[in-house]
Amino acid sequence: MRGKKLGGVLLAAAVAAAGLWGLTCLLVPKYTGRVVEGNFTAEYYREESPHDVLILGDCEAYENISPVTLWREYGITSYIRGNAQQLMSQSYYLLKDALREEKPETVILSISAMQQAEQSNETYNRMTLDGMRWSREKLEAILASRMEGEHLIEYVFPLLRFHSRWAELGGEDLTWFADRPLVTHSGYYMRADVRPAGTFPAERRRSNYEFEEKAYEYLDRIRELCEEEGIALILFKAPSLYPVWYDQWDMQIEEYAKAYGLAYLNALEEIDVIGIDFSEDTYDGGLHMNVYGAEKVSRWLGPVLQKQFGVPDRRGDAALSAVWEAKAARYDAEKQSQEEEFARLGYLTRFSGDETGASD
Amino acid sequence: MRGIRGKVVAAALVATAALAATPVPAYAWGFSFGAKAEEKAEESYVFRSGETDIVMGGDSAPVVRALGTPLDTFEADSCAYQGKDKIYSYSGFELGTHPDGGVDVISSVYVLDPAVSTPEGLQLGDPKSEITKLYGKGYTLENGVYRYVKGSSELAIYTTGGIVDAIEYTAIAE
Repeated sequence: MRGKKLGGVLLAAAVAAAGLWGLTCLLVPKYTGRVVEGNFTAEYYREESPHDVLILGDCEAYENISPVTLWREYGITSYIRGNAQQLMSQSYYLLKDALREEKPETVILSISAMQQAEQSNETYNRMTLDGMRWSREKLEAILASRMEGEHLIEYVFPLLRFHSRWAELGGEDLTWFADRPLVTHSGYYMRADVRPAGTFPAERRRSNYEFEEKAYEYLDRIRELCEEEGIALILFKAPSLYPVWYDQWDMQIEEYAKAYGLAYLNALEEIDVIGIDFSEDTYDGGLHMNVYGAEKVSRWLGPVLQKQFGVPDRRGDAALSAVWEAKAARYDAEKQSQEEEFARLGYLTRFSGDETGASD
Repeated sequence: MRGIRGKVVAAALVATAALAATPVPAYAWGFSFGAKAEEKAEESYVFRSGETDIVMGGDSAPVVRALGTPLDTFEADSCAYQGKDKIYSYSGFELGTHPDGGVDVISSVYVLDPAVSTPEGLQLGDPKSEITKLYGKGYTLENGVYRYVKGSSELAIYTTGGIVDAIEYTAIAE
Protein backbone atom coordinates (compact mmCIF):
# COMPACT_ATOMS: atom_id res chain seq x y z
CA MET A 1 0.00 0.00 0.00
CA ARG A 2 2.79 2.39 0.98
CA GLY A 3 4.49 1.73 -2.38
CA LYS A 4 1.30 2.45 -4.26
CA LYS A 5 0.78 5.68 -2.32
CA LEU A 6 4.32 6.78 -3.07
CA GLY A 7 3.78 5.89 -6.70
CA GLY A 8 0.63 8.00 -6.74
CA VAL A 9 2.41 10.97 -5.20
CA LEU A 10 5.28 10.68 -7.67
CA LEU A 11 2.86 10.40 -10.57
CA ALA A 12 0.96 13.46 -9.38
CA ALA A 13 4.23 15.36 -8.99
CA ALA A 14 5.29 14.34 -12.50
CA VAL A 15 1.94 15.38 -13.95
CA ALA A 16 2.11 18.72 -12.13
CA ALA A 17 5.70 19.32 -13.31
CA ALA A 18 4.76 18.43 -16.88
CA GLY A 19 1.77 20.74 -16.63
CA LEU A 20 3.88 23.60 -15.34
CA TRP A 21 6.47 23.02 -18.06
CA GLY A 22 3.79 22.99 -20.73
CA LEU A 23 2.16 26.14 -19.40
CA THR A 24 5.51 27.86 -19.19
CA CYS A 25 6.27 26.94 -22.81
CA LEU A 26 2.88 28.26 -23.83
CA LEU A 27 2.92 31.51 -21.87
CA VAL A 28 6.46 32.85 -22.18
CA PRO A 29 6.90 35.50 -24.91
CA LYS A 30 8.08 34.02 -28.22
CA TYR A 31 9.71 37.13 -29.69
CA THR A 32 8.93 36.14 -33.26
CA GLY A 33 7.20 39.32 -34.40
CA ARG A 34 8.54 42.82 -34.54
CA VAL A 35 10.68 42.24 -31.46
CA VAL A 36 13.00 39.27 -31.98
CA GLU A 37 15.73 40.23 -29.53
CA GLY A 38 14.43 37.91 -26.82
CA ASN A 39 15.74 34.95 -28.81
CA PHE A 40 19.34 36.11 -29.18
CA THR A 41 20.85 34.58 -26.05
CA ALA A 42 19.46 31.08 -26.58
CA GLU A 43 20.32 31.00 -30.26
CA TYR A 44 24.02 30.77 -29.43
CA TYR A 45 23.60 27.23 -28.07
CA ARG A 46 22.47 26.06 -31.52
CA GLU A 47 25.87 26.78 -33.03
CA GLU A 48 27.51 23.74 -34.58
CA SER A 49 31.13 24.88 -34.71
CA PRO A 50 33.53 26.95 -32.61
CA HIS A 51 34.43 30.59 -33.19
CA ASP A 52 37.77 32.37 -33.23
CA VAL A 53 36.17 35.70 -32.42
CA LEU A 54 33.41 36.35 -29.90
CA ILE A 55 31.72 39.75 -29.95
CA LEU A 56 29.97 40.99 -26.82
CA GLY A 57 27.76 43.95 -26.10
CA ASP A 58 24.48 45.75 -26.62
CA CYS A 59 22.84 46.83 -29.88
CA GLU A 60 26.12 48.42 -30.95
CA ALA A 61 27.52 44.88 -31.12
CA TYR A 62 24.67 42.99 -32.74
CA GLU A 63 23.62 45.58 -35.33
CA ASN A 64 26.94 46.80 -36.66
CA ILE A 65 29.10 43.78 -37.49
CA SER A 66 28.28 40.99 -39.94
CA PRO A 67 29.92 37.64 -39.06
CA VAL A 68 28.97 36.27 -42.49
CA THR A 69 30.99 39.06 -44.16
CA LEU A 70 33.91 38.32 -41.83
CA TRP A 71 33.74 34.70 -42.95
CA ARG A 72 33.13 35.28 -46.62
CA GLU A 73 35.89 37.85 -47.11
CA TYR A 74 38.45 36.83 -44.47
CA GLY A 75 37.58 33.30 -43.39
CA ILE A 76 37.06 34.52 -39.83
CA THR A 77 34.65 32.51 -37.67
CA SER A 78 32.81 34.77 -35.26
CA TYR A 79 29.66 35.04 -33.18
CA ILE A 80 27.93 37.99 -31.53
CA ARG A 81 26.62 37.43 -28.02
CA GLY A 82 24.71 40.66 -27.84
CA ASN A 83 21.33 41.76 -26.56
CA ALA A 84 19.26 44.89 -26.31
CA GLN A 85 20.75 47.07 -23.58
CA GLN A 86 23.10 44.30 -22.49
CA LEU A 87 24.92 45.54 -19.42
CA MET A 88 28.64 45.05 -18.81
CA SER A 89 27.80 42.59 -16.04
CA GLN A 90 25.69 40.59 -18.48
CA SER A 91 28.47 40.62 -21.07
CA TYR A 92 30.81 39.25 -18.43
CA TYR A 93 28.52 36.36 -17.51
CA LEU A 94 27.69 35.62 -21.14
CA LEU A 95 31.44 35.42 -21.80
CA LYS A 96 31.86 33.02 -18.88
CA ASP A 97 28.90 31.05 -20.17
CA ALA A 98 30.44 30.91 -23.67
CA LEU A 99 33.75 29.72 -22.25
CA ARG A 100 31.97 26.59 -21.07
CA GLU A 101 31.26 25.83 -24.71
CA GLU A 102 34.39 27.02 -26.47
CA LYS A 103 37.50 29.17 -26.20
CA PRO A 104 37.76 31.99 -28.75
CA GLU A 105 41.13 33.58 -29.55
CA THR A 106 39.79 37.10 -29.53
CA VAL A 107 36.95 38.91 -27.78
CA ILE A 108 35.58 42.19 -29.13
CA LEU A 109 33.74 44.11 -26.43
CA SER A 110 31.39 46.93 -27.37
CA ILE A 111 31.96 49.57 -24.72
CA SER A 112 28.84 51.69 -25.22
CA ALA A 113 27.29 49.88 -22.25
CA MET A 114 29.82 51.58 -19.98
CA GLN A 115 27.47 54.56 -19.88
CA GLN A 116 24.75 52.59 -18.11
CA ALA A 117 25.66 50.34 -15.20
CA GLU A 118 22.12 49.49 -14.10
CA GLN A 119 19.19 48.23 -16.12
CA SER A 120 16.38 50.67 -16.86
CA ASN A 121 13.75 48.34 -18.25
CA GLU A 122 12.83 44.90 -16.97
CA THR A 123 12.08 43.68 -20.48
CA TYR A 124 15.74 44.02 -21.46
CA ASN A 125 16.76 41.85 -18.54
CA ARG A 126 14.22 39.21 -19.44
CA MET A 127 15.27 39.20 -23.09
CA THR A 128 18.93 38.82 -22.16
CA LEU A 129 18.70 36.41 -19.25
CA ASP A 130 15.75 34.10 -19.93
CA GLY A 131 17.55 32.46 -22.84
CA MET A 132 20.65 31.57 -20.82
CA ARG A 133 21.08 27.93 -19.95
CA TRP A 134 20.86 27.31 -16.24
CA SER A 135 24.28 27.48 -14.67
CA ARG A 136 26.11 29.34 -11.94
CA GLU A 137 26.77 32.07 -14.53
CA LYS A 138 23.07 32.56 -15.17
CA LEU A 139 22.30 32.75 -11.48
CA GLU A 140 25.05 35.31 -10.92
CA ALA A 141 24.02 37.28 -14.00
CA ILE A 142 20.49 37.59 -12.63
CA LEU A 143 21.68 38.63 -9.20
CA ALA A 144 24.10 41.17 -10.69
CA SER A 145 21.64 42.88 -13.01
CA ARG A 146 18.09 42.44 -11.72
CA MET A 147 16.14 45.62 -11.11
CA GLU A 148 14.44 46.60 -7.91
CA GLY A 149 11.22 44.61 -7.86
CA GLU A 150 12.58 41.76 -9.96
CA HIS A 151 12.72 38.46 -8.12
CA LEU A 152 15.00 35.50 -8.69
CA ILE A 153 12.07 33.10 -8.33
CA GLU A 154 10.49 34.62 -11.46
CA TYR A 155 13.57 33.67 -13.45
CA VAL A 156 13.55 30.17 -12.00
CA PHE A 157 9.84 29.84 -12.80
CA PRO A 158 9.09 32.25 -15.69
CA LEU A 159 5.44 31.24 -15.39
CA LEU A 160 5.22 33.43 -12.29
CA ARG A 161 6.14 36.44 -14.42
CA PHE A 162 4.28 35.64 -17.61
CA HIS A 163 1.15 33.82 -16.40
CA SER A 164 -1.00 36.85 -17.21
CA ARG A 165 -0.19 36.46 -20.92
CA TRP A 166 -2.95 33.86 -21.19
CA ALA A 167 -5.32 36.65 -22.22
CA GLU A 168 -3.16 37.63 -25.20
CA LEU A 169 -2.07 34.23 -26.51
CA GLY A 170 -1.84 34.04 -30.28
CA GLY A 171 -1.05 31.57 -33.01
CA GLU A 172 2.69 32.00 -32.61
CA ASP A 173 2.44 30.75 -29.03
CA LEU A 174 1.34 27.40 -30.37
CA THR A 175 3.59 27.43 -33.43
CA TRP A 176 6.67 28.14 -31.32
CA PHE A 177 5.55 26.25 -28.24
CA ALA A 178 8.81 24.34 -27.77
CA ASP A 179 11.11 25.72 -30.44
CA ARG A 180 12.06 29.07 -31.97
CA PRO A 181 12.94 30.21 -35.47
CA LEU A 182 16.48 31.43 -36.10
CA VAL A 183 16.25 35.20 -35.95
CA THR A 184 19.90 36.24 -36.22
CA HIS A 185 22.85 35.47 -38.44
CA SER A 186 25.48 34.31 -35.93
CA GLY A 187 24.10 36.86 -33.51
CA TYR A 188 23.79 39.63 -36.12
CA TYR A 189 20.41 41.37 -36.43
CA MET A 190 19.87 42.08 -40.11
CA ARG A 191 18.13 45.17 -41.47
CA ALA A 192 18.23 45.99 -45.17
CA ASP A 193 15.99 49.05 -45.01
CA VAL A 194 17.37 52.56 -45.26
CA ARG A 195 16.54 55.70 -43.29
CA PRO A 196 19.17 58.37 -43.79
CA ALA A 197 20.60 60.27 -40.87
CA GLY A 198 19.16 63.74 -40.42
CA THR A 199 19.74 66.35 -37.78
CA PHE A 200 20.16 65.44 -34.14
CA PRO A 201 19.08 67.17 -30.95
CA ALA A 202 21.55 69.43 -29.18
CA GLU A 203 24.29 67.67 -27.24
CA ARG A 204 23.19 67.84 -23.64
CA ARG A 205 25.60 68.61 -20.88
CA ARG A 206 26.12 66.23 -17.99
CA SER A 207 27.29 67.02 -14.51
CA ASN A 208 29.40 63.88 -14.30
CA TYR A 209 30.99 62.10 -17.23
CA GLU A 210 32.74 59.48 -15.08
CA PHE A 211 31.59 55.93 -15.85
CA GLU A 212 30.07 54.26 -12.82
CA GLU A 213 32.16 52.03 -10.59
CA LYS A 214 30.02 48.99 -11.33
CA ALA A 215 30.64 49.36 -15.07
CA TYR A 216 34.37 49.52 -14.45
CA GLU A 217 34.14 46.55 -12.10
CA TYR A 218 32.75 44.32 -14.86
CA LEU A 219 35.08 45.74 -17.48
CA ASP A 220 37.91 44.73 -15.14
CA ARG A 221 36.41 41.28 -14.71
CA ILE A 222 36.10 40.77 -18.47
CA ARG A 223 39.70 41.90 -18.95
CA GLU A 224 40.98 39.65 -16.17
CA LEU A 225 39.02 36.67 -17.46
CA CYS A 226 40.46 37.20 -20.94
CA GLU A 227 43.95 37.44 -19.46
CA GLU A 228 43.48 34.21 -17.50
CA GLU A 229 42.24 32.42 -20.60
CA GLY A 230 44.86 33.87 -22.92
CA ILE A 231 42.24 35.66 -25.01
CA ALA A 232 43.03 38.94 -26.78
CA LEU A 233 40.54 41.64 -25.76
CA ILE A 234 39.59 44.48 -28.11
CA LEU A 235 37.45 47.42 -26.99
CA PHE A 236 35.12 48.58 -29.73
CA LYS A 237 32.95 51.64 -30.30
CA ALA A 238 30.44 51.36 -33.14
CA PRO A 239 29.91 54.18 -35.62
CA SER A 240 26.61 55.35 -34.14
CA LEU A 241 25.93 59.06 -34.42
CA TYR A 242 23.31 59.17 -31.69
CA PRO A 243 23.07 59.06 -28.69
CA VAL A 244 26.17 61.17 -28.28
CA TRP A 245 29.40 59.39 -27.40
CA TYR A 246 30.99 62.14 -25.33
CA ASP A 247 34.67 63.00 -25.71
CA GLN A 248 35.01 62.54 -21.95
CA TRP A 249 33.78 58.95 -22.29
CA ASP A 250 36.08 58.29 -25.19
CA MET A 251 39.02 59.58 -23.20
CA GLN A 252 38.26 57.25 -20.30
CA ILE A 253 38.21 54.23 -22.62
CA GLU A 254 41.42 55.36 -24.28
CA GLU A 255 43.09 55.71 -20.90
CA TYR A 256 41.82 52.32 -19.78
CA ALA A 257 43.05 50.65 -22.95
CA LYS A 258 46.43 52.33 -22.59
CA ALA A 259 46.72 51.36 -18.92
CA TYR A 260 46.16 47.67 -19.66
CA GLY A 261 47.73 47.43 -23.11
CA LEU A 262 44.43 46.80 -24.90
CA ALA A 263 43.43 47.78 -28.41
CA TYR A 264 40.61 50.31 -28.66
CA LEU A 265 38.93 50.50 -32.06
CA ASN A 266 36.71 53.55 -32.27
CA ALA A 267 34.81 53.28 -35.55
CA LEU A 268 33.39 56.76 -35.01
CA GLU A 269 36.81 58.13 -35.79
CA GLU A 270 37.17 55.95 -38.88
CA ILE A 271 33.91 56.73 -40.64
CA ASP A 272 35.68 57.97 -43.81
CA VAL A 273 38.15 55.09 -43.82
CA ILE A 274 35.31 52.59 -43.40
CA GLY A 275 33.40 54.40 -46.12
CA ILE A 276 30.14 54.80 -44.24
CA ASP A 277 27.57 56.91 -46.03
CA PHE A 278 24.93 57.90 -43.52
CA SER A 279 22.43 58.54 -46.28
CA GLU A 280 22.50 54.83 -47.21
CA ASP A 281 24.14 52.75 -44.51
CA THR A 282 21.74 53.18 -41.60
CA TYR A 283 18.15 51.98 -41.15
CA ASP A 284 17.20 54.30 -38.31
CA GLY A 285 18.65 57.70 -39.03
CA GLY A 286 22.19 57.13 -37.84
CA LEU A 287 21.67 55.19 -34.61
CA HIS A 288 22.58 51.81 -36.07
CA MET A 289 24.02 50.44 -39.28
CA ASN A 290 21.84 48.57 -41.74
CA VAL A 291 23.29 45.53 -43.47
CA TYR A 292 25.26 47.67 -45.94
CA GLY A 293 26.87 49.62 -43.12
CA ALA A 294 27.52 46.48 -41.05
CA GLU A 295 29.25 44.86 -44.02
CA LYS A 296 31.46 47.93 -44.43
CA VAL A 297 32.37 47.88 -40.73
CA SER A 298 33.20 44.17 -41.08
CA ARG A 299 35.45 44.82 -44.09
CA TRP A 300 37.31 47.35 -41.97
CA LEU A 301 37.46 45.04 -38.96
CA GLY A 302 38.53 41.87 -40.79
CA PRO A 303 42.03 43.01 -41.82
CA VAL A 304 42.62 44.48 -38.34
CA LEU A 305 41.73 41.14 -36.74
CA GLN A 306 44.02 39.23 -39.06
CA LYS A 307 46.99 41.59 -39.21
CA GLN A 308 47.06 42.83 -35.63
CA PHE A 309 45.62 39.85 -33.78
CA GLY A 310 46.53 36.94 -36.03
CA VAL A 311 42.97 35.65 -36.33
CA PRO A 312 43.25 32.79 -38.83
CA ASP A 313 41.57 32.34 -42.19
CA ARG A 314 39.61 29.07 -41.84
CA ARG A 315 38.31 28.83 -45.38
CA GLY A 316 40.59 25.88 -46.01
CA ASP A 317 38.72 23.81 -43.42
CA ALA A 318 36.11 21.81 -45.30
CA ALA A 319 33.88 21.16 -42.31
CA LEU A 320 33.84 24.82 -41.24
CA SER A 321 33.31 25.91 -44.82
CA ALA A 322 30.22 23.74 -45.07
CA VAL A 323 28.78 25.23 -41.88
CA TRP A 324 29.49 28.79 -42.99
CA GLU A 325 28.30 28.32 -46.55
CA ALA A 326 24.94 27.28 -45.13
CA LYS A 327 24.93 30.37 -42.91
CA ALA A 328 25.86 32.56 -45.87
CA ALA A 329 23.07 31.12 -48.02
CA ARG A 330 20.49 31.89 -45.33
CA TYR A 331 21.99 35.37 -44.89
CA ASP A 332 21.82 36.09 -48.63
CA ALA A 333 18.25 34.85 -48.84
CA GLU A 334 17.06 37.10 -46.01
CA LYS A 335 18.99 40.06 -47.35
CA GLN A 336 17.45 39.62 -50.79
CA SER A 337 13.98 39.19 -49.33
CA GLN A 338 14.31 42.37 -47.24
CA GLU A 339 15.76 44.29 -50.19
CA GLU A 340 12.86 43.29 -52.43
CA GLU A 341 10.28 44.20 -49.82
CA PHE A 342 11.92 47.53 -49.10
CA ALA A 343 12.13 48.34 -52.84
CA ARG A 344 8.45 47.48 -53.22
CA LEU A 345 6.98 49.10 -50.13
CA GLY A 346 9.57 51.54 -48.86
CA TYR A 347 9.54 49.83 -45.48
CA LEU A 348 9.76 46.35 -43.97
CA THR A 349 6.33 45.13 -42.87
CA ARG A 350 7.67 43.07 -40.01
CA PHE A 351 9.30 46.08 -38.38
CA SER A 352 6.63 48.65 -39.09
CA GLY A 353 3.93 49.72 -36.63
CA ASP A 354 3.97 51.62 -33.40
CA GLU A 355 3.36 48.87 -30.89
CA THR A 356 6.25 48.03 -28.60
CA GLY A 357 5.85 44.34 -29.26
CA ALA A 358 6.98 43.62 -25.76
CA SER A 359 4.84 40.57 -25.54
CA ASP A 360 5.53 39.20 -28.98
CA MET B 1 -6.92 2.63 -5.97
CA ARG B 2 -7.38 3.68 -9.55
CA GLY B 3 -9.99 6.16 -8.37
CA ILE B 4 -7.68 7.70 -5.76
CA ARG B 5 -4.82 7.99 -8.25
CA GLY B 6 -7.16 9.63 -10.74
CA LYS B 7 -8.28 12.14 -8.14
CA VAL B 8 -4.68 12.98 -7.25
CA VAL B 9 -3.79 13.52 -10.90
CA ALA B 10 -6.91 15.58 -11.47
CA ALA B 11 -6.15 17.68 -8.39
CA ALA B 12 -2.61 18.31 -9.61
CA LEU B 13 -3.89 19.40 -13.02
CA VAL B 14 -6.49 21.70 -11.50
CA ALA B 15 -3.89 23.24 -9.18
CA THR B 16 -1.52 23.81 -12.09
CA ALA B 17 -4.20 25.39 -14.24
CA ALA B 18 -5.37 27.56 -11.35
CA LEU B 19 -1.85 28.82 -10.73
CA ALA B 20 -1.50 29.84 -14.35
CA ALA B 21 -4.89 31.40 -14.71
CA THR B 22 -5.25 33.21 -11.40
CA PRO B 23 -5.41 36.90 -12.30
CA VAL B 24 -2.73 37.99 -9.83
CA PRO B 25 -2.06 41.65 -10.52
CA ALA B 26 1.41 42.40 -11.85
CA TYR B 27 2.23 44.61 -8.89
CA ALA B 28 1.85 41.59 -6.62
CA TRP B 29 5.22 40.52 -7.99
CA GLY B 30 6.72 43.92 -7.46
CA PHE B 31 6.39 45.32 -10.96
CA SER B 32 5.32 48.86 -11.61
CA PHE B 33 3.96 49.81 -14.98
CA GLY B 34 4.11 53.52 -14.36
CA ALA B 35 1.52 55.93 -13.11
CA LYS B 36 -0.73 57.83 -15.41
CA ALA B 37 0.66 61.06 -16.76
CA GLU B 38 -1.71 63.23 -14.75
CA GLU B 39 -0.70 61.56 -11.48
CA LYS B 40 2.97 62.25 -12.18
CA ALA B 41 2.34 65.86 -12.99
CA GLU B 42 0.87 66.74 -9.62
CA GLU B 43 3.98 68.49 -8.36
CA SER B 44 6.63 69.27 -10.90
CA TYR B 45 8.68 72.05 -12.34
CA VAL B 46 6.87 73.91 -15.08
CA PHE B 47 8.50 75.58 -18.06
CA ARG B 48 6.43 78.13 -19.94
CA SER B 49 6.49 78.98 -23.62
CA GLY B 50 4.11 81.81 -24.47
CA GLU B 51 0.82 80.83 -22.86
CA THR B 52 1.66 77.13 -22.71
CA ASP B 53 2.68 75.51 -19.45
CA ILE B 54 4.99 72.53 -19.94
CA VAL B 55 4.78 70.24 -16.92
CA MET B 56 7.45 67.60 -16.44
CA GLY B 57 5.87 64.15 -16.51
CA GLY B 58 2.62 65.49 -17.96
CA ASP B 59 0.84 64.33 -21.11
CA SER B 60 2.68 65.79 -24.08
CA ALA B 61 -0.18 65.72 -26.60
CA PRO B 62 -1.99 68.94 -25.55
CA VAL B 63 1.34 70.72 -25.10
CA VAL B 64 2.61 69.77 -28.56
CA ARG B 65 -0.73 70.87 -30.05
CA ALA B 66 -0.56 74.19 -28.25
CA LEU B 67 3.06 74.89 -29.22
CA GLY B 68 2.29 74.50 -32.92
CA THR B 69 4.47 72.99 -35.62
CA PRO B 70 7.98 72.36 -34.34
CA LEU B 71 11.04 73.43 -36.32
CA ASP B 72 12.17 69.82 -36.30
CA THR B 73 11.17 66.48 -34.77
CA PHE B 74 13.64 63.78 -33.91
CA GLU B 75 12.34 60.30 -33.18
CA ALA B 76 14.43 57.43 -31.89
CA ASP B 77 13.19 53.91 -31.27
CA SER B 78 14.80 52.42 -28.23
CA CYS B 79 16.48 49.04 -28.65
CA ALA B 80 14.01 46.25 -29.41
CA TYR B 81 11.18 48.76 -29.82
CA GLN B 82 10.65 49.34 -26.14
CA GLY B 83 9.38 52.83 -26.82
CA LYS B 84 9.94 55.78 -29.10
CA ASP B 85 11.59 58.82 -27.59
CA LYS B 86 10.87 62.10 -29.38
CA ILE B 87 12.54 65.47 -29.27
CA TYR B 88 10.67 68.46 -30.68
CA SER B 89 12.73 71.53 -31.54
CA TYR B 90 11.12 74.92 -31.02
CA SER B 91 12.59 78.36 -31.17
CA GLY B 92 14.95 78.54 -28.20
CA PHE B 93 14.32 75.15 -26.60
CA GLU B 94 13.88 71.43 -27.18
CA LEU B 95 11.04 69.39 -25.73
CA GLY B 96 11.65 65.68 -25.04
CA THR B 97 8.96 63.03 -24.61
CA HIS B 98 8.92 59.33 -23.94
CA PRO B 99 6.12 56.76 -23.82
CA ASP B 100 4.75 55.82 -20.43
CA GLY B 101 1.52 54.09 -19.58
CA GLY B 102 0.25 54.33 -23.15
CA VAL B 103 0.83 58.07 -23.63
CA ASP B 104 3.83 60.19 -24.52
CA VAL B 105 4.80 62.14 -21.44
CA ILE B 106 7.09 65.13 -21.21
CA SER B 107 10.53 63.94 -20.16
CA SER B 108 12.67 67.05 -20.63
CA VAL B 109 13.03 70.64 -21.73
CA TYR B 110 16.45 71.91 -22.74
CA VAL B 111 16.91 75.66 -23.12
CA LEU B 112 19.08 76.60 -26.10
CA ASP B 113 18.77 80.34 -26.50
CA PRO B 114 19.74 83.23 -24.16
CA ALA B 115 16.58 85.01 -25.29
CA VAL B 116 14.46 82.35 -23.59
CA SER B 117 13.96 82.58 -19.86
CA THR B 118 12.47 80.27 -17.27
CA PRO B 119 9.14 81.32 -15.72
CA GLU B 120 11.14 82.51 -12.70
CA GLY B 121 13.32 84.69 -14.96
CA LEU B 122 16.60 82.77 -15.35
CA GLN B 123 18.39 82.96 -18.72
CA LEU B 124 21.53 81.55 -20.29
CA GLY B 125 24.36 84.02 -19.67
CA ASP B 126 23.09 85.04 -16.22
CA PRO B 127 25.61 85.07 -13.35
CA LYS B 128 25.31 82.16 -10.93
CA SER B 129 24.16 84.54 -8.17
CA GLU B 130 20.85 84.75 -10.03
CA ILE B 131 20.28 81.03 -9.44
CA THR B 132 19.95 81.18 -5.68
CA LYS B 133 18.17 84.50 -5.91
CA LEU B 134 15.46 82.95 -8.07
CA TYR B 135 15.37 79.36 -6.82
CA GLY B 136 16.69 79.49 -3.27
CA LYS B 137 19.30 77.38 -1.56
CA GLY B 138 17.65 73.99 -1.73
CA TYR B 139 20.03 72.68 -4.36
CA THR B 140 22.78 70.13 -4.68
CA LEU B 141 25.95 71.26 -6.42
CA GLU B 142 28.20 68.99 -8.42
CA ASN B 143 30.81 70.10 -10.95
CA GLY B 144 29.16 73.47 -11.41
CA VAL B 145 25.66 72.03 -11.84
CA TYR B 146 22.92 73.24 -9.50
CA ARG B 147 20.16 70.68 -9.13
CA TYR B 148 16.73 71.44 -7.69
CA VAL B 149 14.17 68.69 -7.21
CA LYS B 150 10.43 69.26 -7.03
CA GLY B 151 8.17 66.19 -6.82
CA SER B 152 9.08 63.96 -9.71
CA SER B 153 10.97 66.61 -11.65
CA GLU B 154 14.42 68.14 -11.60
CA LEU B 155 15.75 71.48 -12.72
CA ALA B 156 19.47 71.36 -13.58
CA ILE B 157 21.29 74.63 -14.08
CA TYR B 158 24.76 74.26 -15.58
CA THR B 159 27.39 76.90 -15.00
CA THR B 160 30.86 77.44 -16.38
CA GLY B 161 33.09 80.16 -14.99
CA GLY B 162 30.24 81.45 -12.82
CA ILE B 163 27.89 81.90 -15.79
CA VAL B 164 24.72 79.92 -16.53
CA ASP B 165 25.34 78.10 -19.81
CA ALA B 166 22.65 75.40 -19.87
CA ILE B 167 19.23 74.89 -18.29
CA GLU B 168 17.49 71.55 -18.34
CA TYR B 169 14.22 70.32 -16.88
CA THR B 170 13.73 66.58 -16.58
CA ALA B 171 11.07 64.25 -15.28
CA ILE B 172 12.57 61.87 -12.74
CA ALA B 173 12.01 58.25 -13.67
CA GLU B 174 10.22 56.27 -10.95
